[in-house]
Amino acid sequence: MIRRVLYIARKELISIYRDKMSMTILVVLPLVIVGILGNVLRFELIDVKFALLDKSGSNLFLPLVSELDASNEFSFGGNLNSEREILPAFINDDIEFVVSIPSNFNRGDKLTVFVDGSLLLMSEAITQRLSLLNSEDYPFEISYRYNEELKSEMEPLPGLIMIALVIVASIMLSLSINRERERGTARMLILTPARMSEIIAGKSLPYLAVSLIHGLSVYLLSLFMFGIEINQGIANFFLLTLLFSVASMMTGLFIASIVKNELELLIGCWLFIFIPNVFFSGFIFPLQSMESLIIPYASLIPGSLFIEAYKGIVFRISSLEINLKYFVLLVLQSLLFYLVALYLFKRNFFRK
Amino acid sequence: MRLLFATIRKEFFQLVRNKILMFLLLVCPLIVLGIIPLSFDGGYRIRAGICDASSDLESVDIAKRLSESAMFEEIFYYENLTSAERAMERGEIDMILLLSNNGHSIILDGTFPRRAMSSVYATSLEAFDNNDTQIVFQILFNAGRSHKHFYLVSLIILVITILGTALITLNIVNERESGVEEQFKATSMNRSIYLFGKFIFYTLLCLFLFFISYLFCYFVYNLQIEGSLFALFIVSLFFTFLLLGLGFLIALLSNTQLRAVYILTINLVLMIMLSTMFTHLSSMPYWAAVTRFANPVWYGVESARLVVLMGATLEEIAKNLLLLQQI
Repeated sequence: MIRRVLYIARKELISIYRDKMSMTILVVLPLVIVGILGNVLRFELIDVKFALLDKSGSNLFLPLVSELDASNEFSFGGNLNSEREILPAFINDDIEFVVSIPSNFNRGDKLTVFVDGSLLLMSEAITQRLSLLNSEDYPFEISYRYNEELKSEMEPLPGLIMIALVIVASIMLSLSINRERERGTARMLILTPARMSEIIAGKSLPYLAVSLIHGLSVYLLSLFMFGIEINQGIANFFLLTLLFSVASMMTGLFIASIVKNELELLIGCWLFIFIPNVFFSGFIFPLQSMESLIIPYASLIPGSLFIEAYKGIVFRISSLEINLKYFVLLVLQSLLFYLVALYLFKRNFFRK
Repeated sequence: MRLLFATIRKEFFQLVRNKILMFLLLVCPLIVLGIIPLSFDGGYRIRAGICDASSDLESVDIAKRLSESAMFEEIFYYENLTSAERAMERGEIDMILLLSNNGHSIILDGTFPRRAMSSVYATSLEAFDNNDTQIVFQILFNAGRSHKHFYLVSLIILVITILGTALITLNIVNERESGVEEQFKATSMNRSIYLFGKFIFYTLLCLFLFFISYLFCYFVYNLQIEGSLFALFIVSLFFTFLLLGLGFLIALLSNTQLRAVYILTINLVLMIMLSTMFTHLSSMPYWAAVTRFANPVWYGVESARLVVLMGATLEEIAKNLLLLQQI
């Protein structure tokens, strides 16, 4: 049995290796995704432009404006003359909020700030930042754990690694299996003594090796580009990458066992693996801020398990026992999807 | 002309007779639009741990105010700091509020900076009543600041991007790989008519998908379109052209479906994440913000937001997106 698995693995390895361009894309894909997007996806304010509508004519607010302009977050974008100019300024110019001062302004009156509700993340950040402007001195001290300087590049990293791994791993194995069926070469496999489980196992082996390469390249990238060191947890990190890749592959395999050709597989993988893992994993929206109905399910999908475990292993340097539940859940899910896919494949793999 | 109609008819039957594909195209976008918005609630729901080392009544008052606040979901009480820290290490709480006689302090989990900033904001607002700022915030556009409506627009664009590019690319490459394209060379079919027929068919299909998505969102989530429907139609048409153009380009570059899938995957991930779907332009570095002019998804997201949420006219959209005012 093991011999047959190895034969199929060897066949698969050769067919990956001989298509040089696809192999190159396959290996560097996570590297490109994490390398480029890790520098781009920041959820912080940098040089947000604002305009001033001063109807009072006093210079009371010049210090405030220059203070805002001097900070990293905001930059001054010009004066407005009347309230009619506010809406066009939002639509046509690059203005993100407008500070408006009423015509007879006295000390103690309230300012009005117009923000753009269609840029939601930004308007929320602006609201938080401006409300805290006058009260810089909190009645409490603040300290941060696990990320003392509050480096913002650490925020998207677990999610990006997750996205890069999940989309590549889920597509590559299921594509190669589905391809045999669509091109009719599955009919040749029917002549061999190999059983369905052996075919799947044999095909998975080369792709497991590829996902280990992905884990290594992502590790090196985060070390040299973002300066994130994984000291004690290095073995745990690779175990996590491996288990997560297997879980993604098995989910992809499950989709492959339902659909017939590559187009349907691609659409299925993107709609039912990529989209849920982006939205439900806590990558863009924190898990706790979802509707309470969905939180238990959202915390079970592979993406959120990966992100939680990654934070635990890499950022918090916590021990294996704390993260064990994520590993166990990943293994259970892979097993479940594998069994269902195996059952479906046994019925429809050799049929064209 | 007859040849063109014949091509369109061929594509139509090819699609309609494939039941799984029909299901994926017509039902699955609605499933996605029905389930995914559950993640857009946007409440704060901070889990706080309180470690009370002081003896006066003020700390009891603060703890009570936190537990009544809507911004805090769960409040845990800990005897000492070490047990609270252990809970944070397990990822069970987002912040620890340490109350003592000589000054309070909060300890935050820094692995999610955005959430840490929100926690500081919520604590100063709710627990310490620190709301004496002189600012009234007035929200223009999308006035209820509904998370659902904001991300629904992005989600529709996301789904159509995936479906549109995948359909056109793999359809062309599949026919090339299986030799159907070779056989067309022996017929009176002209290659340009053949591709043009596909283009028209998939444009109509994408517009139909737009139509059912917006209709679904209108009935289920009450998504009102602020701008005119004509503007929305033009914007969607323009976006569809960009998508299909991209699909043609990828199809030209790849001989096998395998390669097409990989090239498409890397392109889609980069384009989706580099568009302003999840982040805003101001927080991107300059080189990344500039790539938006070559990014169809950015045009799609921005123009749809301008029409649906801000109610901009076509002229304003053209100024905003095409005249490169924002460099």
